[in-house]
Amino acid sequence: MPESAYITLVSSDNHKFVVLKDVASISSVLRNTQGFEEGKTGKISLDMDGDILECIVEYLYYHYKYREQAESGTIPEFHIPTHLALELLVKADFLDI
Amino acid sequence: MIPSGSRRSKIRPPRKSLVSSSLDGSNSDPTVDFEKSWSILSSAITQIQSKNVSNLSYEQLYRKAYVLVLRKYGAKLYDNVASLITHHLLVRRDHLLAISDHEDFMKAVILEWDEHLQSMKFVSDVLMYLNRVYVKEHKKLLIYDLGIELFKDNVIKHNHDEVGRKIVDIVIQEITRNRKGEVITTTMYITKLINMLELLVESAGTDIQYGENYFQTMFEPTFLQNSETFFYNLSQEFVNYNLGSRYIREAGQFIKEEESRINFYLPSSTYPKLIDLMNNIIIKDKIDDIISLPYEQQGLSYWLQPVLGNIFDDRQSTHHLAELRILYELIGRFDSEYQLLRLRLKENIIAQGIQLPEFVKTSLQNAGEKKTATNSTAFATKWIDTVLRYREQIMKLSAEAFASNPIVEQTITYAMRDFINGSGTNRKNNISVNAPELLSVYMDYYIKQLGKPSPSKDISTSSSDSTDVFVNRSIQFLRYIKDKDAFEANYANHFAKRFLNSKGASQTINANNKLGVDLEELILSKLGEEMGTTSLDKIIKMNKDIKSSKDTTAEYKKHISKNQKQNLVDLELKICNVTDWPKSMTKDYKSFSKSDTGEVSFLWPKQLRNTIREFEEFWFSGKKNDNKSLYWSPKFGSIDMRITYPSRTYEINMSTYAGIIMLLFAPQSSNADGTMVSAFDEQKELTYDEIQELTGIPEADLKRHLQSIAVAPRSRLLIKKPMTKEVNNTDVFKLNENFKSPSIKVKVLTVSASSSAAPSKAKQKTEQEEEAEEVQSNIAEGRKLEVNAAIVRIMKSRHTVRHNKLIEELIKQLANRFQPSIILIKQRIEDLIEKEYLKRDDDDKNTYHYVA
Repeated sequence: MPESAYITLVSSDNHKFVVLKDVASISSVLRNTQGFEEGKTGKISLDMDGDILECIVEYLYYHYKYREQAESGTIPEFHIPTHLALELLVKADFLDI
Repeated sequence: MIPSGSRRSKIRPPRKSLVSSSLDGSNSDPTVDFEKSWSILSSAITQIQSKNVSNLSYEQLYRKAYVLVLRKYGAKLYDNVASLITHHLLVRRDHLLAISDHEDFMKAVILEWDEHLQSMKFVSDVLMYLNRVYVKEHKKLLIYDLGIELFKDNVIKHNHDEVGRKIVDIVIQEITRNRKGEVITTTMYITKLINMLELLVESAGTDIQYGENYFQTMFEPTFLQNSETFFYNLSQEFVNYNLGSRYIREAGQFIKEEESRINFYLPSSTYPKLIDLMNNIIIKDKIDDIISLPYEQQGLSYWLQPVLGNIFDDRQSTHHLAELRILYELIGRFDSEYQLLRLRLKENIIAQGIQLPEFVKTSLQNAGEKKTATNSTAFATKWIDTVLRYREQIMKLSAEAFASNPIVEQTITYAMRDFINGSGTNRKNNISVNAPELLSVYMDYYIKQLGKPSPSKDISTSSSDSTDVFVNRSIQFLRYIKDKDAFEANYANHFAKRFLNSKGASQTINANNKLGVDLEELILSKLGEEMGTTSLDKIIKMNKDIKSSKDTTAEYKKHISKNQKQNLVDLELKICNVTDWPKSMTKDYKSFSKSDTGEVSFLWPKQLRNTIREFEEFWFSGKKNDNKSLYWSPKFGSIDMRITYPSRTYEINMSTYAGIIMLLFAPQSSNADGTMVSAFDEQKELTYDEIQELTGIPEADLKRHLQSIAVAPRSRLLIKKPMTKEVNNTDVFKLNENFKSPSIKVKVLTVSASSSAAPSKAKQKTEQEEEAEEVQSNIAEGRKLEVNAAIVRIMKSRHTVRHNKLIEELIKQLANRFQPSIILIKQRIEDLIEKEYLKRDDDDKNTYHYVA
């Protein structure tokens, strides 16, 4: 299987997010999967709803985009839908973000 | 939420209620079954250990561990993992111990270690949440570190370090084989094993406390001990060759190899320990014995021998540079001051240096030179050249072998200074040399050489070059001389002689030489730079006299031509201030004048008297000469005379005395027509006694000069009867009608010590000795004054000084002039006490007070 620059994240309700590997690797959990079966299939099934996962992916990209400027502090705020905040916090802990 | 470096700490999951409640919501099975989860996890770990990682779903395993940790099964999970790994490792250990071949064993250990680390990496990934939450909170070892710890305890250290010892033994065995020069194939394994041992950190108890690693506690002590024995035996083996060069070469080679070896294998903390060990055992403990080996066994004296050998003939016997370079490097390894090297080098240089006079003597004798007195010109020039060449050689050697290290070169300089100034020379049968005098003789010789008009046309370049070379060499040598005052006295003496004995003409040649600078003045200024002008005061004043003499001569000539004086002899004046010129020359200046004793001892010939009177008139008419008295000293100077022999007319230059003798034979009567009767028609004959009576020349001088003009074959202006070498009181002299010379200009060389005939030799010798003695006494007098002055200077500033302190101070102050002896100092102190400059303390005899 050729090395792909992307991996697919699958939510519990079967939403699929194709994410740049570098971006996913921000989460050490997602990064660690690569040595295992998930690395072979290029697919990571996660126990979380699509909307949560979407928000997480958005955050990962946000983080990826601004990782250079993080120290200078001149970056726009990341908006979190209030109703997802708690759930998101738990999943972030799970993913070690 | 702003992502930043500390992002992780910002997102904290609600610890208890929230998480569990949310989990309750999402997870259908609230009571997590630990055993069930563990069995999945443990089988996964086993899978990982069997390298079946790619069939496991990380997300699921991670979630299992995650849930277990959230459910407070962290401790249990941790312990289970530990025991599972322990079990696995114990099995692997048995497997390892079954291997007997060293190389295979090393390979297997490394493989086991690598695989263990690899699997621990995956296990640690799976148990990441355990690491993050449980381990952190309870300050346990991280899973990965736990793996290393377990590996250490269960593989390496288990059963009294069974595997550990085996590894250490094998590695040391391999290194030893390599040291013995065997090629080993296990170098990579050794490196890896040592790296592994370094990672096995000892942790005391359960607390994570980074102490020493296994390498330091187990491997290093054994290794160092082993190395020590090895080095010791090896160096002993080298010593047993009984050959310094071989020791140096092999030790140097081994150390170089060992260095790259351990650099490759050992961690940087062990490196210096081993190097120290090696330096101490192989170099420091042995090197002095090696250096001091006798010549036959090729110690330092052997390595330095070519330095001496190369001085005289340039057959370029090869220097032992390689050995010396290694030696320098070896000693530099443990002593950046090179003290041992410097000490031994100094001893050897001095030992070689005191052989130099003997060498010079032998080589002079071989060259057919019969007279080899240690103060002869030939000896002086040769010796100084030799010493300077020796210096050149050894400096070249220093540059090539000792990296021109300044402290080493300083030692060389000190050593040279020691042998030049003759410390330790008197012990053995070596010829002692008087360096200050020899240098002065040397300079005298070269100044005369350079002062001679050179026949070749292109002297403009070559002579200025050779002048520079000469001056530089002289100054260089001067720096080695401790008794600078002795040099000054000798130099002053030679300087005075050069001036007084030189013909006026050569003086002008000097002045007009191509550089436009008087050679004497050039040297004087160089010496001034070197020693300070105050100490050269006398010589400088003498030089002034020389200049004013020239001026006076010029003025006098002007005066003569203006006043149309007739019948006067041309004068080239040398007017000296008695006080500034060496006593040995001036002591008897008054004996030639009538005014002092009333006794007329010396008679100026009438041909000269007019001129003398004329000049005296001129001299005393000058205002500046009011308070001065003028004495004529026929001992010095020369006369140019035109004598018509039957064969032809010659222009003859001779010493003043000789000229005066010749004037006795000048025609006295005139023919009827008023022309002078030829001297040869007069057939004048004079006995020795008559000559003495008519001239008043002191006996010794008279005999010497009569020899010069009546005995010496080249310049036999007179005929002596009987024709013997010796001059006796009854001898009769007359003009030599048959005198012939190839050129019109003839120079009569005054018989001197170096070319004198046998009978006069003894006399010349004593005269020379006398002069030397006088120079010596001059020096001694000068020293007394200098010591006195220095004591007074010190006492003036300190008022009260203890004896030892005073001596110390004195030696320091006088160091660049000469080295005062303690006896001299004591005498001077007594002298000053007598003169009431100082007084002894009433209570303490060792303390002096300054009396204002």
